[in-house]
Amino acid sequence: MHIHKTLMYICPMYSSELIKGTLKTIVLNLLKEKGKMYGYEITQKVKELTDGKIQITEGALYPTLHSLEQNGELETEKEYIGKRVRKYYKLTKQGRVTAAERINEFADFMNTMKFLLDLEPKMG
Amino acid sequence: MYRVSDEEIDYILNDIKAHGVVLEDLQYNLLDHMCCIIEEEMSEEDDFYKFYEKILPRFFKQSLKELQEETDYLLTFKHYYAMKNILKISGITSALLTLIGATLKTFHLPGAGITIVLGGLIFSLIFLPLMIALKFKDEAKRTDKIVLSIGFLLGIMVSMGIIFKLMHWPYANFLMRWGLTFFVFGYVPIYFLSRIRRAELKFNTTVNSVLMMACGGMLYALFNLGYSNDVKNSIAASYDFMNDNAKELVAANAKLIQTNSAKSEVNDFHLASSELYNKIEDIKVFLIAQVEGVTLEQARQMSLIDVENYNDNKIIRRQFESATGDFSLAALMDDINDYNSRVSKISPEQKERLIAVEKLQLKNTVVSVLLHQLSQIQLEVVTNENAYLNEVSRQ
Repeated sequence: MHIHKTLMYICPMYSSELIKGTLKTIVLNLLKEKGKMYGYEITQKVKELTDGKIQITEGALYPTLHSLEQNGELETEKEYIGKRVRKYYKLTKQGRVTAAERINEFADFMNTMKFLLDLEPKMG
Repeated sequence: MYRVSDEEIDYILNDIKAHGVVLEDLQYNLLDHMCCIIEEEMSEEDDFYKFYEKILPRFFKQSLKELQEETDYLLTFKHYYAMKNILKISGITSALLTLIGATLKTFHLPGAGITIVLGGLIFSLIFLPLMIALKFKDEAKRTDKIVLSIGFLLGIMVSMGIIFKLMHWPYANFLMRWGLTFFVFGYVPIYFLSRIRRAELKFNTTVNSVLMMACGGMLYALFNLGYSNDVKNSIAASYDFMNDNAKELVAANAKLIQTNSAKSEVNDFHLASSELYNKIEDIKVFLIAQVEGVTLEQARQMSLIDVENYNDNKIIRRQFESATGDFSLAALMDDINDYNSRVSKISPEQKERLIAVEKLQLKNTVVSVLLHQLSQIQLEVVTNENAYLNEVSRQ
């Protein structure tokens, strides 16, 4: 199985194996909540929301954003700040559907893991 | 808050480009991101260039180019699952078509050629190239990617060669010979050496190498399949036997002529016979010289056992069948017609003495068969002469 070298997070708290594969879910959900965001804003927001427990690296974020855009999940808006160009990302119609699916899938996964690892007392 | 100046923006952008990031969108994303970090985190007293050098490593593990590579990778392989599906479908289709085609061919049923060719083309032009693309994605090590791709490329070459050979298309031997040579003597050893030291691959590598070596080696032995030496010797012996008989008759005829030389018909018959006989002898020498690439003098000393390209059909097609010179098929037919008309004048009632050349197939054959046929004609010519001379002597 292929594990690509740069798809990793700098995450002081969690091992990279643990949250690998959730980057798309995080990005899609964040954009669903906030509307439109640019790259730096996404990294700062994730850091802030998780008290620094999850820090997304640029090396993982931008390739993912480009791939989501190419697949039609995201659309972009450009803002010119002097010589700089800031790209805002927001969900497309398809992206909103994918975001909902990803979040449901992950919620279901967490429940299964809780049950599997016996993390909370079972009812009855 | 620090404001990044226009010169500094240019500096950052050029640096991003210099690090191998080519996608414009990605360049501007990174530029904005770096400017944000600098404006948020750098204090007024800090030096811009030093600070920039300090934050740059946050973006990568070894070099900034990784971002470009990762982006390319995600964009290129978004069709990964579609590719895997096509791989499965094309693999099964080509295997089925090849099996059906081979069965049809075995029983000489119609549609064999097209089925096998279709199976082979799907295998070598869809299945194997997709394998290369997928191996490039799946294999983690660069050497593995390259080594396996070379193997599949050689596989494409050999399987195309086999299809060409089945269909008698040109360059089949070239494709098979060089594809197999590089596969057996180049690829398999490299494959073996590049993997054998890795403990987890050791067993698979050994088994695969042995299998590839055995299959490749057997194909290698197969593709230049000719007659066994015994068969070749018997073909050459029958040719010599026929020629020796003809020569004995030539000698016998020479004696008979001496006793009947007074008659002008005898001389006419002898002239017609020996002209055609010598003409065919010259054609045979010419053909051997052409297929063996030797001089006429050298060819005159050779018999069929010395002819290595005894299965040639290309050179004789060019130099004999469709040629126009003295040693061509057209010239031979003229001479045979001439002989027939001369003989029928001398003995009009004996039709069996005419050479029924239309019963022979002098076209679309191999050189060993053609030489046999030419000797048969010679033998008939001298036998006719012998019969005629004996008849005349008895009168």
